[in-house]
Amino acid sequence: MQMTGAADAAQRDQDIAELLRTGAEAAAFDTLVERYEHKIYRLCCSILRDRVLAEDAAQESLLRIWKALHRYDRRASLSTWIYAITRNRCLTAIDRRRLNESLADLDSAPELEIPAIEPANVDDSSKLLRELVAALPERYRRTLTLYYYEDQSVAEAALMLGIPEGTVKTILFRARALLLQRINQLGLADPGLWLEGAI
Amino acid sequence: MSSPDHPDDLLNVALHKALARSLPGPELPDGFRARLLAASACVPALDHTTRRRDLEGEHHEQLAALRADFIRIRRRTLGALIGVAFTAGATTAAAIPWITAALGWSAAYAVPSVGAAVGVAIALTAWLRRAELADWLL
Repeated sequence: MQMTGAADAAQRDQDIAELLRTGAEAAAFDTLVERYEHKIYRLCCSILRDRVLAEDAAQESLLRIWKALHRYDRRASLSTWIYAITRNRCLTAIDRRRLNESLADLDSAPELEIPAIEPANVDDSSKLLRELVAALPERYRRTLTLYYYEDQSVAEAALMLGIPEGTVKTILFRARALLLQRINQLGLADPGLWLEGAI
Repeated sequence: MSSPDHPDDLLNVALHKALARSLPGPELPDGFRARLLAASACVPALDHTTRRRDLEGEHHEQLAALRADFIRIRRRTLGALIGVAFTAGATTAAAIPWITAALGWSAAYAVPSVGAAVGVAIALTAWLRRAELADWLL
């Protein structure tokens, strides 16, 4: 069943809240990890575009959550709190990467490229499409990627990115429009090419 | 309005399917959970003493923030009072010649007196309200 919005997420996390209320933090954390580790990792992947960095950020986020679990004050829903911590860790990772890049620039090292995430067994159209997505403005790319990572759930993508659902829908619309524009420019506007994945 | 068979709609649908195919959610790396559990084991659950210390620390921080806000508000209020007093004085000084000419010498005393009385009344009301609020809080 697809969950929609923070209220549904809070409903979903009632068992964890109950465990926290009874002081069973270890059990609460186990349930939390079971439920959120994939989502946290995907959020990190969508923001950082690098699987190694994303894994580090996801691990750090979960450890931070573990350390701060006793201070969770229920003012925000658990999922909102978890995703806020994760986004902060990702921002820290981005800052670190920028610092490393600027240090590398000082040493006149070649420019570091951010590798796009590539799943195994991809066809040419998928590869081209991922390149087009990677070339989108950062906000569009991040939202579009997370939307498809999360089984096309606008509510979940909005919750994870901490933005309203309406904003996610607008960004998705604009991102797809940009992709279509680019596809037209490349002369690849035949729907069959994309349905068959045989460019 | 375009029909569902419109080429743009077909391309939209095809693009949507291609995106869903091309952007599958990445799977967790092997050993992710094991590494996490190993790391979290090094951070034991906090005992009551540490937790109490943390909470007291947070409480002190919040109190300090409240005090800082209170002082800031008092400074702003004082600043606003001084500003209003100077503005009122300057306005009166500028208006006195006109009032004297138009309404006579007595008005030159009467108008500032009325202004001062209104100011005192406003201040008294504010102080009384504040006292009531304080009583209510206590």
